[in-house]
Amino acid sequence: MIDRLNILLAEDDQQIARLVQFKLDREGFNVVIAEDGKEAIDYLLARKWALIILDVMMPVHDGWYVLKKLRQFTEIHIPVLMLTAKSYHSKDIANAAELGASQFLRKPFDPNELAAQVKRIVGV
Amino acid sequence: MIDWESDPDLKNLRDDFISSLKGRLEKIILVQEEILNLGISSERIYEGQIIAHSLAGIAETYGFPILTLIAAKLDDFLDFCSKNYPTHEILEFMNLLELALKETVKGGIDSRILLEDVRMKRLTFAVESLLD
Repeated sequence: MIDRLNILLAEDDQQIARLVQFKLDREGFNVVIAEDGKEAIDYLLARKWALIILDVMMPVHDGWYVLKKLRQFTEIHIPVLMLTAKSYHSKDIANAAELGASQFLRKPFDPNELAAQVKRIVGV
Repeated sequence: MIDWESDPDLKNLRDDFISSLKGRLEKIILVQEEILNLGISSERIYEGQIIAHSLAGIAETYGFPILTLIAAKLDDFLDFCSKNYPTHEILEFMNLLELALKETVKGGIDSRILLEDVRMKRLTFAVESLLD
């Protein structure tokens, strides 16, 4: 039996989180949801992640803080897909690229496009 | 494009999203009531902006692009008001979002008719001219 790849989804909006989890589960991934930035950081070392999907605006710590924390753990090389708000998109890209985010997806997104990006990033 | 009717689990997710809009509808109505009763304030503008911004980022994902469009324009308009000066049109434009939400909550539809509403045209014009 092939183990499903683990994806950490840091997203505080339950409606978005449930849909992403549903879509990626159907694509064969195991999705764990963190509801805020602190929970996301707590999860970083919890298991081996194929990808982290990170929303920018979250309670407690935002996506930028989580991304900086991730990059501080230099032994962990996990690709990061950032979900950005439409109005902040171009500024977010520059910021996130400096911090090593792999890809960006603007909200509102097409769930099919999200799944396609995820599969491209993890190489399946 | 997702075919929401093709899968019962997908349909359930969408139905849950539509149900969740009731909470956002109640909040936008409440903000408008506060403005009517207590006046425009930076806090109320911010509350309205939070609702609009959040909705703009999700509605189209669930197959409601017009709801996203109206919410995004209101978000831009309120953002301008928060940094410059509030205008009397705030209530008119929040009411437009309220109507759009009501249509979606009531019938699960994206309100195409509101695209032709004079308030939508005024909001579009306001955003385009204020952000120039």
